[in-house]
Amino acid sequence: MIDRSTSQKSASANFIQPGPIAISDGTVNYAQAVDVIRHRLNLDRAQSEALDALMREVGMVSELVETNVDDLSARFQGIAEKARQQTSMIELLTATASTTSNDEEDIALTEVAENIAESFSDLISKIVYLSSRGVSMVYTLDDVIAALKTVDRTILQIDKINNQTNLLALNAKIEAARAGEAGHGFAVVADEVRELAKTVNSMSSQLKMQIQSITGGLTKSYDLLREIATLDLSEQNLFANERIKRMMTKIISQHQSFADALVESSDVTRQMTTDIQHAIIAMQFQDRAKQRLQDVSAGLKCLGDSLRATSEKANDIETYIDSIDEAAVEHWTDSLIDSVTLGEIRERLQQKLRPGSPQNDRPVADDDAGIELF
Amino acid sequence: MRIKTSTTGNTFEARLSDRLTFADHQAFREMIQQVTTTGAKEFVLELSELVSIDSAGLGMFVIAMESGSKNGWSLTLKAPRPSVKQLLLLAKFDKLVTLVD
Repeated sequence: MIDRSTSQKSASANFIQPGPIAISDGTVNYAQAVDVIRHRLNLDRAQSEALDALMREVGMVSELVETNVDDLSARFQGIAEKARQQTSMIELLTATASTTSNDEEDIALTEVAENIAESFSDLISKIVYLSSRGVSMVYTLDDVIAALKTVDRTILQIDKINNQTNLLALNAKIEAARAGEAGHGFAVVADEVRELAKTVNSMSSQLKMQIQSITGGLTKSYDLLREIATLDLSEQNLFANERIKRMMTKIISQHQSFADALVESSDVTRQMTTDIQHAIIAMQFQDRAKQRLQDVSAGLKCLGDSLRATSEKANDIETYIDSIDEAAVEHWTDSLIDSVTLGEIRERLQQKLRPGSPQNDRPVADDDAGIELF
Repeated sequence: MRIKTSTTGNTFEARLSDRLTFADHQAFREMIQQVTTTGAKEFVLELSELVSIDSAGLGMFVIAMESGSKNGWSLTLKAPRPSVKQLLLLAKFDKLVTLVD
């Protein structure tokens, strides 16, 4: 408590004159007290500057954390997106690995194996049918050759008859010679008959040659048809079929293992995506830290402002002393608490600065519910 | 190939043995003609003694089947050995004629 009753003001120096000041259990020189206050106010100015500097540091730290956390979040988002893409690709791969396709549709590998077996079976059926046509043609050739043999026998008979005709003509000519002049005409006829027999003989020879030629051609065709109709199916083709079946079974089993591995890989990638998403959510602590730092900053500003406002009065101590108000501390405490937005911090400040007083009923952000966005 | 034939009622049965190949086409044809001549309604080819068969042999079965359709008798392939049966199934004879064990 300052005893103003003994103080005197100087009109020229605007300075409080020295005099006794009662402080609790004794008195000190008034001028000394003013020096102490001035010293204190100067210290306030220096401290307010220091607080400004520290606030800027706090702000910079907050920005640094925010920038880096944003960068990390963006990178994690990128990783999560890539992991999702990888999952999709693996799923696509899993779907395509077990199928193949022709021009129109996708075919499962198991169906491919069945198709190959079916195609092989169709091929064998067609070969058998082709063989049956070959054998049929051979039967037809057999009939033709048999008919040609009949023709050949008929020609032999014609030859026999022709020989007899020739002999008869010769006998006729001999008999005509015996008859003398009377048989002359008959001899001419006998000569003509012999000429006819010769011609028939010549034609018969030509016919025999042609039949031999045709039979030779048919025999060659016969051999060709045998080659076409004959294919040993009993062993190698059956083995080929078995080999194809074994190969396809192996391919299907390999593809199944492949598909299983892909499904597993897809699950792992999906789990990775979930973990990364959790990491991204966890990194949102930065928002809470930022809010706290902002409150700290606001509190420091309030402190700095108060120090600055007081220190500005160092040059006019009297006015300052006049302006001292018991309620000023209360007002300053209110403004400090009001500068804080997070209820949690405000509550702690209340407990520290006004122990035992009721809670400020100003609405506050509920930081217990998680991240505060403002 | 060797052929042993027998007739029971409307059934003409031929037991084939050894190998059925192109070389047997003449004998096979005569056998088919014989089935038609006897007026049988069913021709049973008993194959238990047949060791192997080539494509011409299978082709002759097709000819027998066609001849049967034309002349009013049906063809049955009976008791083939596993290797011959596998070949008959591969060539889809089970869909063309009656195949019995």
